[in-house]
Amino acid sequence: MMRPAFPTTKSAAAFALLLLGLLLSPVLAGKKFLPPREQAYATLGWNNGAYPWVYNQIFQETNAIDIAIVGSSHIWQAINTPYLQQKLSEKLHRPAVVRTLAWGGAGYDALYFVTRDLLARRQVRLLVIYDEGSGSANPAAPVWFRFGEDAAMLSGLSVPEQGRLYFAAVVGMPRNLLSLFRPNLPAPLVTDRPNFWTRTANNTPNPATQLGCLPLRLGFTPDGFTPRLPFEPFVPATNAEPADAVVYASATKKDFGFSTAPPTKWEANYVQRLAALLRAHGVQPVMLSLPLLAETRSPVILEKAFWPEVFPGTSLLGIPPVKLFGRLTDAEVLKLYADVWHFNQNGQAYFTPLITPALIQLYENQWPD
Amino acid sequence: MKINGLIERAIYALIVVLSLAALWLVTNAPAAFLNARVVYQGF
Repeated sequence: MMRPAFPTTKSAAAFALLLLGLLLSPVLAGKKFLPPREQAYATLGWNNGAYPWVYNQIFQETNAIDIAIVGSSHIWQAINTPYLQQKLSEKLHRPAVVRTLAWGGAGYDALYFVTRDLLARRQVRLLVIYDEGSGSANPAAPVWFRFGEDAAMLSGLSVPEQGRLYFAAVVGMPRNLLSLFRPNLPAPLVTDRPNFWTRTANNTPNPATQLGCLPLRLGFTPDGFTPRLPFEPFVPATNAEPADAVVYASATKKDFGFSTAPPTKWEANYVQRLAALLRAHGVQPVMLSLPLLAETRSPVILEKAFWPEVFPGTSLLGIPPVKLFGRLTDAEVLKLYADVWHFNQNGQAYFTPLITPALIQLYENQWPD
Repeated sequence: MKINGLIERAIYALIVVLSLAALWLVTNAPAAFLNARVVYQGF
């Protein structure tokens, strides 16, 4: 005869209680047993985003930010923040404050939570984001999403999506409880031991020394498994100029191509929440188009949704890829990318000066003084 | 151990239901939740 799973009814009941406790832990902990919000960020290191820098910018620095670039890896690697800050300072005749707060793994959920935490503590004059459209939850959802304080975030989502976030809260619970009893100290921004990115990515500078951005010094790989091409500094010779940057308006419609597929329910839900959050803070965002490798020959800026309708008040900014990459050969274009999605340091150094005047113009349109 | 009393049956039914709920939550979650490095192939 098979050995019974539980020797006594009591032990079966204890196991049932344990399961029940684990599954209900986010509900049982409520808001009372959650550590301060900053602890969510303090548990994260450098490898999956510039989190120690993001922590520093949200919870330690307090001054107003002129331009905040917020989003996941594409935008992290696309804009050279020190360059933009220098150009804005020159234009404003005062030291400007430009910061990048970025992380790995796309998702409008992370964009919403980080932007909310940032705007709760610092004034942001111009917010620059990009289309996060991953259609699903950010991998760090167990950190952002804490059921006790954000249960209302579940409304408007489908049941599997709600389950996904709830499970994220279950997974995040042990760390939350531990952080409650033993707070995590914020990671130092600069250490004797070189930063994760310097050690693992061919001397890529510590994002904390780059105002948060990541100029990734890696050559191209098509899939992350094929060995990378060697990284070599490359300055493309094209006819592209800052005047090629276009902001969406009725006169510039022809430069944009909008997908007719509606955003997923997940995306739409968080985009709407983000739009409401920005309205409440009087922040008008710029949605910057960052070309994927597959789009580099496109004559128009490709957008996955008609953002002016989905996200009212957004300025759509981009450079038609055919102008941006001009007559570069395919091999030359590859030198600007670390993979099929992300610019490397060459791409960042090439793209930033071309888009900077338009960003400064959008800043000045909103803040004429 | 024989399962005969109402309480025992209820407890075992609860274990089955809770296990299924946990299984549903786990399988519904992106693999990335369980191992955040999975998504980092981009780099």
